[in-house]
Amino acid sequence: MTKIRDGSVNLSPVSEATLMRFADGDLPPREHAFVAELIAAHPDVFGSVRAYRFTKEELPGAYQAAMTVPAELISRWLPGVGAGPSLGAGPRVRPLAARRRLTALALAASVAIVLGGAAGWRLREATHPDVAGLLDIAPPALQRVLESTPTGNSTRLAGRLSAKPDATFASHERHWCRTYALNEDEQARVKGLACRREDGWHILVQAASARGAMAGEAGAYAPAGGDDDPVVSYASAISDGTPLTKEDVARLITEHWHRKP
Amino acid sequence: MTDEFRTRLVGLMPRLRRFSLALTGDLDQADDLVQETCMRALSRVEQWQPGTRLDSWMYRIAQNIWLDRMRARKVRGEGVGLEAAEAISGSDGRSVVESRLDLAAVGAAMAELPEDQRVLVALVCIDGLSYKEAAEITGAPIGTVMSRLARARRELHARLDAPPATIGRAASKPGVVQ
Repeated sequence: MTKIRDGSVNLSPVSEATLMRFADGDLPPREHAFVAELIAAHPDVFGSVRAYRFTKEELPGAYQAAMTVPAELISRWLPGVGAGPSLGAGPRVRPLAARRRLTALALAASVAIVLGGAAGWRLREATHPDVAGLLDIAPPALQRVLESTPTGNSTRLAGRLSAKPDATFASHERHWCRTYALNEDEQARVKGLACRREDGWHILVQAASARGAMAGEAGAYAPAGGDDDPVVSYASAISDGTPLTKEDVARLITEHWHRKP
Repeated sequence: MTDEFRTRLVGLMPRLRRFSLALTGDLDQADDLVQETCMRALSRVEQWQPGTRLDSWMYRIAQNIWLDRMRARKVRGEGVGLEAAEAISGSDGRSVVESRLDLAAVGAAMAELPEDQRVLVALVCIDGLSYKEAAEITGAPIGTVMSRLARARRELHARLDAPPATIGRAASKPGVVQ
């Protein structure tokens, strides 16, 4: 039994901590079932459960706006990520005309995502529902592209979707890394950066544009519109030098990437 | 700084920004708090142990900076009122527009909570961390965490889920204590 400061009495035989754990789904199954039965039999006694559920369900939505982080803020907060040597001749992607339907990759939950918005590229969590809704193709398809497609060549993945590795370079941590673009009907819909580990290619950062992106000429890339390209910034930050030539990449592919950076 | 650290740090920014907004109630102040948190973290990166949770470490830094700021403002006799509505008006995106009133209301209710309770609500209700994780970040015993959190949630519910005419009355009720 718990007391209320205004003098009335809470007849609940269950502590407030237990009721809160119940609302949060933190109780073991048997205890959860017991509390659920009590609440069903005496709903008026357990009014605080409503408060716990309300705060769990309603509060996160009010702060959702903060989850979209403009790229310029990332550069300001983490200057080391946006700095570093340029990738030089590595091709870039410029976001253009508006389209609503997006295409993207299935991603590991820990991958940082950048989504294109009205003002540029934007960072989001990989687990965000907006991102989950974008997913269209399986990671193994991208693994194959990164493993065996020469720089600048496109490999068709599925339907109108194709992948095209761009710059290839060694990271400070001595991993081979590649930037890439996923194109749909010659328009870059997603771009990203992946590095090769012993168990395969790991996506470090990935971007998608709600507006799409396309080159000035069909099939070719245009230079980025400015310094707000987080994939290029990120690649620059971890790059240990200039990108490899097409010939070097072709040799690495032939050797199955066994040569260490 | 390793590739893994950079990747995890960048990926953490949305959550850290949301956590900061929950504490400050003001997007500009939240962004300032994130920036100071990042600066402090980058200057002490050697203190972070690989294999441990980066989010807990960063949240602890952000919490300490914010608590220091609050104490300093109180010492100076400044108010700590809410400016959430103006703060988010400078942002873009449909979700921002749709949630503007909600954020203003929730921010106002959060601003009435003691600082320690606000941190716990931000960690558990908004970020979804466990009670144990919240206890580790705040350094408070888990029993204390649960009683403070339960009290805070009842208070927020009383303020936010009551008809406008009863808000003042409901908010003045201390609620249930154990």
